[in-house]
Amino acid sequence: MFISIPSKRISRRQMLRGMGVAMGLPMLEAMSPVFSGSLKAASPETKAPRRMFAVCNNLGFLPDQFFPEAGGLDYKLSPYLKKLADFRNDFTVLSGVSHPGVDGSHSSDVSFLTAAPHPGGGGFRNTISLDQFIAAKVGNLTRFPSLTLGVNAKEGRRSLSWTDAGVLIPCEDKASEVYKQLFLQGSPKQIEGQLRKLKIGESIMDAVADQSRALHRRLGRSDQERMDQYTTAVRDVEKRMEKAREWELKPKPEAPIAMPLDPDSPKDYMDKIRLMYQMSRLAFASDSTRSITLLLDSSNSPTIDVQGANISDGYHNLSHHGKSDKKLNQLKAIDLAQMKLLADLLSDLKTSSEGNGTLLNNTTIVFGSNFGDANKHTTDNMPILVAGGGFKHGKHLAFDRDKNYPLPNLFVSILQSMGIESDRFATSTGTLTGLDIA
Amino acid sequence: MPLIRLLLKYLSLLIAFAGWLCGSCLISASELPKTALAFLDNHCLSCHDSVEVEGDLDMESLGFDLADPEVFETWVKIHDKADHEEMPPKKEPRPEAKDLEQFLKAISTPMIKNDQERVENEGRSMVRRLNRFEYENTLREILNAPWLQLADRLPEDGTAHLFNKVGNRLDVSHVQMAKYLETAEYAIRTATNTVLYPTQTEKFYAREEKVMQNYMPFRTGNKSATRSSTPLIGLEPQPDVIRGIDPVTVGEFDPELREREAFGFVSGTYTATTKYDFTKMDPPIDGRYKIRIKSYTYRAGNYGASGGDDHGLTGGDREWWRPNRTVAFPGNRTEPITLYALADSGDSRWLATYDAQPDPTVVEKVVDLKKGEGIRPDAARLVRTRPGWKGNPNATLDGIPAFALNWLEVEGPLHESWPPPSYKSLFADLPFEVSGKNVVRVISNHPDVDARRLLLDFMKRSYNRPLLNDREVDPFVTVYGNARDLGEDFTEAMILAFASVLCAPDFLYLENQAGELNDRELALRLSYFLWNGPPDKELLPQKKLNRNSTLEKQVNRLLNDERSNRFLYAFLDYWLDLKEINATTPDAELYPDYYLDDMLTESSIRETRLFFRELLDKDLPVRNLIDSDFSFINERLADHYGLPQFEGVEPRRVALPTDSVRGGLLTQASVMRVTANGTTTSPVLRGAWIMERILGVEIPPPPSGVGAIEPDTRGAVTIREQLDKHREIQSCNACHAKFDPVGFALESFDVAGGWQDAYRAVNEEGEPVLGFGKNGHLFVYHFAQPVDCAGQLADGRTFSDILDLKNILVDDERQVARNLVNRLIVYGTGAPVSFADRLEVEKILDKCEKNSFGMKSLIHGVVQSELFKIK
Repeated sequence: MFISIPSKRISRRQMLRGMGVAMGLPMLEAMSPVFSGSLKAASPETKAPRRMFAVCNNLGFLPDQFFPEAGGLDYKLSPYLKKLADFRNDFTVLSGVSHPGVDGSHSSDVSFLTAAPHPGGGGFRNTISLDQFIAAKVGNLTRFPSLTLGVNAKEGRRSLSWTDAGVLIPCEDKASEVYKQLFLQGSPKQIEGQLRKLKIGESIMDAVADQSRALHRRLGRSDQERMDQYTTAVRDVEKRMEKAREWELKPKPEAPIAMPLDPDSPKDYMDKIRLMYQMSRLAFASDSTRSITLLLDSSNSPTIDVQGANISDGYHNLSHHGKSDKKLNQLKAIDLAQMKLLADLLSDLKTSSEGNGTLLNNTTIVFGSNFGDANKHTTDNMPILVAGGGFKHGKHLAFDRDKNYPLPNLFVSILQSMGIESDRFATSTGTLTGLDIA
Repeated sequence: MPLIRLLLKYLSLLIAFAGWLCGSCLISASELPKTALAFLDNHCLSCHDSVEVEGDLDMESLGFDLADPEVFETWVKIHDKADHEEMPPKKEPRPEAKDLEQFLKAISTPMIKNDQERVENEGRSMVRRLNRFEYENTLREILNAPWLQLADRLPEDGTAHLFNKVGNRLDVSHVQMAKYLETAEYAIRTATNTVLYPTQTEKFYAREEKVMQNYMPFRTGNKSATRSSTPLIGLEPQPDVIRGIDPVTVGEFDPELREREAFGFVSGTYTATTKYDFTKMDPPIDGRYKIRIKSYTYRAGNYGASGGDDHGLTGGDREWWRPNRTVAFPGNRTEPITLYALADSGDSRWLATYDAQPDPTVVEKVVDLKKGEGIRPDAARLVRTRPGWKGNPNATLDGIPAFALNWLEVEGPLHESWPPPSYKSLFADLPFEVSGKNVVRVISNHPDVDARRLLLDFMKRSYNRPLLNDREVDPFVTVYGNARDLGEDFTEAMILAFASVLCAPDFLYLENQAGELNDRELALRLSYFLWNGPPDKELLPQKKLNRNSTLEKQVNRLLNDERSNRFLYAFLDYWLDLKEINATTPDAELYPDYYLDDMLTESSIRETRLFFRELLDKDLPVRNLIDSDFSFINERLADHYGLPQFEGVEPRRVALPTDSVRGGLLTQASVMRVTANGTTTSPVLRGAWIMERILGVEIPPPPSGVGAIEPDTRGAVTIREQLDKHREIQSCNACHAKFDPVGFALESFDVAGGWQDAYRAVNEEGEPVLGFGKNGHLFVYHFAQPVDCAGQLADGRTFSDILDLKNILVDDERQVARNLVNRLIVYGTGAPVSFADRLEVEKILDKCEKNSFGMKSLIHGVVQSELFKIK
């Protein structure tokens, strides 16, 4: 008999899994390892930590509504930027920027943080994304080297984060899961169990590393190079397990709020974004990670609910507006709701103090899209906003809209502002002209 | 003088190289043959030198170091451009035929030699890991668990040359590795836990399902008859059940009446509005289940009400197209029903279709379900109301077509034997007990001895190579031992040790040594080609498999097995982008007749799959890909294609009228759908896609910085008019002339492959077409500019429409076959057809020419060719 019990929709196993305990072997994507002991970093650093939060809406924004006209300090806010008027001096808006050689229509979101050219091409291989680059440098300082989040992203199939071998890191789509990872503490017995599993995991990695050495000897030169990738992956997992064991012994930070309820439908797109912004803020405030990405997979979203607007068609279809006024109006309503959520995030970060400054001072937010114009499917003239992070803001950096300025330069500026020594990222040519540290 | 500069350059390079290169590896490196040099100087260098660098090609500094893959690729392009007479450009003097021939020979001879040496040393393909579908199929086989669903647990694989089969795009990182651990453990645990659940049968009555009950009374949020459920006993509505006067079911007290109780619906399933999910069922574990569903069709009376105080039974606001929930007539047609598996997350997965009959009938299907999934039936033809709806496209004055559900019976998980084969695949004959709540404890009297024995046996079955000796099991016995030392019991320690075997490279990777594949390697290659999974007990031990007669026999056997559908579906998914069919959806206003129509999408996919299956099974000529006199359609596609109507959801082979524009892949709904974006069609994108995928013409990516076309659905200007401006520019037209024309002919087909004489537009000017969409909305689109589907191919041949074009394309059946063979070689061997491989491809084609390139013959040709038999 399949007896249906009321609680079957969340099984005990699923519950425990959320707490990172019941599974036989620990889940080890970028998500899983790790978090500092107290609310503040366990590291000996004295300076406030530097962080990066990147958000990409893969259907973009209506360009004529997003971009201001004139450049400079006293530019006039565009209709969309008016929503951010209160934070005028906390952000910089860029125009005339794009990733050199990044074409390929819808597939270009994979290059949003990697700038790897020709993502639509047959021989494409992605490269490391900005967040993973940061994680590799400072990820050891926090429980989670990075967090990869998504809204309405096809399960495990899309995100903004890519390893240096060009492998996609699947994203977490549920705010409640992020919350559990951040704050839910296992019982001593559960922790003990988790430590045991990690140790066994390490011994498994040992066993397969043995096998790969034997295989390696049998292979020709070019094949050996391929197998090196496997060996590295095994070693990486092993290291992460070791690290996870260290963190497992440290208590998680106290939860500042109750666990969020996940909206049950992808129609609640805006609400899901709001919750992910909230989780990101909490993750930063508790110094659980320094690097977060959030893909708003609008292409994969249905007809969404927007307060105060009547949205009649799927988000993706609306983006192919074909200049229809009805669709343009609905898109505007969606875009404005996006800007409102961003304004709320900036406000929350700005009112959270940290050290002598605010969370916003210590967090660079990159907000934008891989699409310059979704109706045309063009990837030049990307809409990009940079906020916080201790830069001198308040400007519209207007570059040439016919001959775009390389956006990877922004990534170099961000890395440097975080104290990460680096003078190159992908196709960069330097740091971003006009964006200076305050 | 470029000639002298070049000569000097090559000379100095040669001297530099000669200094340290030993004789045997002197692969004529860097030495451009003299005859070629003169040709370049005469015909190429005036544009492609270091100064002009026309088209980003600088032949002066290119060199001829064929060991450098990039240099090699560039020379292949130069060779092909000259060979196809695309270069020198038309305005330049043509080279003498014999000069050209000499030039091509001069460069191709060392290129072929170089290519062959590479293959000799390293092989054509490289070591590669399984992709996620192969991984799933392999574990299904090893664990004797054909119902196991694992692919979605692993990250998406990279693709090269369209397919997820090429080594250097099947990467592994810590993410992949961690997922392997997690997935392997899940698979092993599930296979073990099957012993907890002997087969059970349970019946779920529609009347007792909360979801369906919810749609019965009018309440805030639903006061419309169209979205409501109607309690019925056969054809007798029970308004007093709606009113809450009578109980919703007689329950077990009156089994005979209970058997006839049903809920009726006039709507299709749509999550936000009406649904009739069976959610009381709760499969305890992933597995294979038999489901029986009793249902029938009927007609609801006209003039139902919306609103009113009495659930619309009396009073309310009446319309002829709304169902009257107090009147039911016998059904006068069947209704296509789709069954989906419904996960807690709300995701649904297609399981099966059937035709509900006017008489209550039980239909039985065997399906694979995941733990906890429910069943979602969908009367796929019926209306799916969206806010603002004003009608029902299915309603007639003879009543509103409707569908009623009695019950669903679920039997499972099905086990072929007991203990279940999946348990035995791990623990063989060891007994077990169930301890605590649903925990399996395997009983072993000699745990350490059993551990070694079972792990060794498991390794032998899961490794892609024979074990060298039994000591190879030691590392995994150590995993088991460590787990025991840390306090795990025998069962748990074994699950972890089994899982670790599945993380070893010898399971995950397909490796070959350079040169001829041995029997085992060839068996693996063959089965991962035609079954997308591991070989079976007959194929693996085959001796002298590389004999053509043996191969032929095995290929026929593999293709006759149901598992070959895995190859077919995967091949089509990647070759034709069928996996992307839901990437965009038809626009609600422009295409309300396709909007929300899942049956159309699903039927389109099934057509292409069955069509390809038929070509294979009957060894039909490859030209059928361009044009055929049959296809596989169901009632939805018959309507879509404007063919004679019939009832039935299962696709059937239908002979097409001679003047039909259908037939062949080009005009199938699936292909038209994946080459459009749901709102507009583009002759550029469609043309390029068809030329590349089906005709094998290489299309360079669009240059950056060129103005993009801005789709405009307001109806004033057609895409063709917009394009014409673009095409007038010579540098644009050089490429566009290659692919736009095919796109022009296909402009006769809209975003879902329906025929169109004129483009649809939405604006205030036109008079909307009369009709209702599947969403119940009045049409708002009208027909604007006419479609111009005539054109001229790059070679000058003209056509007036798609029929004309197909007649032209079908002439070049060898090229269609060549393209297919090239694709099959990537899919089957994990390496693209290289320069030297081309000769082998031509041999395959020569062999298959006599039967007009039969599709199965082409597969035999590929498998029997040298390309398939070596690494």
